[in-house]
Amino acid sequence: MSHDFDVCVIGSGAGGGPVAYALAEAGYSVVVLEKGPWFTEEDYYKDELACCIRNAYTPDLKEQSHVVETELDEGGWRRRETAQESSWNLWNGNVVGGSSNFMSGFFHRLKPVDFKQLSTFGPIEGANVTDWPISYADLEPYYTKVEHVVGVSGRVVDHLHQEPRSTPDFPYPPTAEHPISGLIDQACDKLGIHSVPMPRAILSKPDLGRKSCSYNGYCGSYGCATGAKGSSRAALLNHAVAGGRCKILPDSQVTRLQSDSSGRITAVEYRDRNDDIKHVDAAIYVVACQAVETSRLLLNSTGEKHPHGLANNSGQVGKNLLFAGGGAGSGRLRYAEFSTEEAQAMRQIGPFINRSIYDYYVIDDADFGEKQKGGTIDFVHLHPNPISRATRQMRGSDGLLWGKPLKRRLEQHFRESSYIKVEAFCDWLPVDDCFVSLDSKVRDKWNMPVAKARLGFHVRNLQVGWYLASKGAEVLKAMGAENVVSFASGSPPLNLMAGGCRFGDDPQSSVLNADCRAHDVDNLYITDGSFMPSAGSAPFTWTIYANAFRVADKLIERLGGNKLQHS
Amino acid sequence: MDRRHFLKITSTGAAATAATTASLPLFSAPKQQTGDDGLSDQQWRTLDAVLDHLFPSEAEAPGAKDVKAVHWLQHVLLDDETDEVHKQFLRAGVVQVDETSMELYQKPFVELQQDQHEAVLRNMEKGKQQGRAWLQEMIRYIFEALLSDPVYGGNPQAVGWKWLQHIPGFPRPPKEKRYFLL
Repeated sequence: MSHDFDVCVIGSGAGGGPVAYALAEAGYSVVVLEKGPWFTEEDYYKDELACCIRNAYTPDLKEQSHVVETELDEGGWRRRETAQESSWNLWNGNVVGGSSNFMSGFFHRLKPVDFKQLSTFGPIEGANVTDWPISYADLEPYYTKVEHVVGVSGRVVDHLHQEPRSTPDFPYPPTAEHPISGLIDQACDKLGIHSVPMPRAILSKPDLGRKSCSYNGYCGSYGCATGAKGSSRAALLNHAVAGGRCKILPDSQVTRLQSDSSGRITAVEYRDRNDDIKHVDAAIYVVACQAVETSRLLLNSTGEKHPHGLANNSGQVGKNLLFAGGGAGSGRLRYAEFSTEEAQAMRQIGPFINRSIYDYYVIDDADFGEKQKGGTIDFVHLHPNPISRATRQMRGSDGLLWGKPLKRRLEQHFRESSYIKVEAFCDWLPVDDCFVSLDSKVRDKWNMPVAKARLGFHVRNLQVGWYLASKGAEVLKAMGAENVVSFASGSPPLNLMAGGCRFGDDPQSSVLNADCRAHDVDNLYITDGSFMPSAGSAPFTWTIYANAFRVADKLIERLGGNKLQHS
Repeated sequence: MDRRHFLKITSTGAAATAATTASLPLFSAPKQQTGDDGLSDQQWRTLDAVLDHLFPSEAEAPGAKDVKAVHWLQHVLLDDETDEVHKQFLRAGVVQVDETSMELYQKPFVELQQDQHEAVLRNMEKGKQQGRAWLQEMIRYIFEALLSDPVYGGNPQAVGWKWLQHIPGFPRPPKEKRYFLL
């Protein structure tokens, strides 16, 4: 049977890029549908209005929105439509390369324990904890592949929870480090904690047809102007397109996956930039629209064999939505408290802090309770965005600050100190009250129901988030930081999402099998973070990239192997 | 007004002023703008005075006037991309300023002394209506005019960045790559 393409990939971010890259490289024809525009390095500038205030890289919420539900203290759920309350925006970068264009590239592998959480620690009441159907050993070669193909900079050091590696060290040395990193190391030494260089998906030297980092101090939330950041676009899609077998269709919003009486997908229905309805078909379909939109697309794609949505015959699509977070903290390094030389070093803009602590990845602390899963602590610079920073200064103890008192506070904030943030990642637990469904009222401009995300969370997230954040805060204090605060938060970081189509061996409790193929649909694979049945205790991107490369190998095998290998 | 029209206006504005003001449409208050932005000349004077009070000019530190914050607000009100509900909210706040002034001092805001300005705005902040939210939004827009890239017409000669010793990132957006043209 002839198709337009061998493989159709929906979504061009960290889940879609590896599939397009690997399949095209193996000689297969690939089409990638991306709802957003195709920006290149020529379009990305350090423009706070564009990235972060006027939201130039995400859809207009008046035309395409979401509904979120958060739990009320008195019980019940508060409904918000993001078109009205844009601070709950669930879009994270709808352009070719997806939100990987705007990541900071803080890269962490999962660790062996993350793959067998249930069998290691037992069940947790109120959480749908499970083991993964694959092990760390299955994913390790692909973490390594990402280091080399996407480009990960770092340095392996010995610490309590160092995961096994098939190579001794990273292919690229760490990105340039800020003098504050040394202060963190000293403080950790004093406290008997292992301070570890944080790997970054940023090239520390030119390679792979891309330039090195320019160290201008504006990374996360901004598109990269040099190509050093390992976005799906810069690292994978550009190469796939150059090879001639990958076609990208930007400004193409997929509205539905059509299926036949056997339940297989027959075509993708999408709207092109003129809003005309178009179709494309392929032997294999790969969905990677980021967790919320992936579940929404499946739920909107009903068919004869899929009355409740594609791949949803067990009612599992959208369930067990996950986030990465749990705790946070910050501290101020006031220049006046340090020598002139030290203060001068701290003022430096550009190099990265790049420090993580993994010592509490498993918490074995009698004061805290039974041995349990902990997480990762990252130390990062406060985001440099001046408008956002200034906006946070207008709240006084007795109402709004304005006039000269506000101006004096701005001077103090911007001129006299550096700020360090702690980001703590617990194992965000899968719960019944965190899921995606279709909203019954709100529709997008193509009249398709929008996704509704209920954002409940387990109290364990707060306990572990608090524990980790306060450990980070101890380090800040030991560095001589002032105004040190740390806290836990159940409010999910909306830019780091996964789950909704968990993989597993049992079709009754999972959407995908171990190969990330839908149990119910023979020609459907899902390769964004949706597959993750638990969050691990770190941001997801490296794991999404690695798993998508793993699934790509399964697809190549299924389609008959590498067509270009002659041996 | 669509994005292209916006570009046309801003280009013309830059050519017309030809000096330091970059790309905002010329608003030499008080000037005939009634109808386009939904505020009368009198209301623009009120808003100008509010912004000046919230962020006054000083010898060593730029204020709302120095960063053309009132032009910025006019831009927001003229921009088709701005949500109509938000525009109504912005205009309603201006109306509320003068209503509060009349109520407390039987004079419009621009005719009041500085301590009376303070009293009117604090009254709005503590009141039941959306006064606090409106004042927050005014301050936020002043910060946009103070700290966004000068290519957008505020922050002339990077006066805001220089004042706060803020080092911008590079590459900075050229005129043809402003966000509404992408």
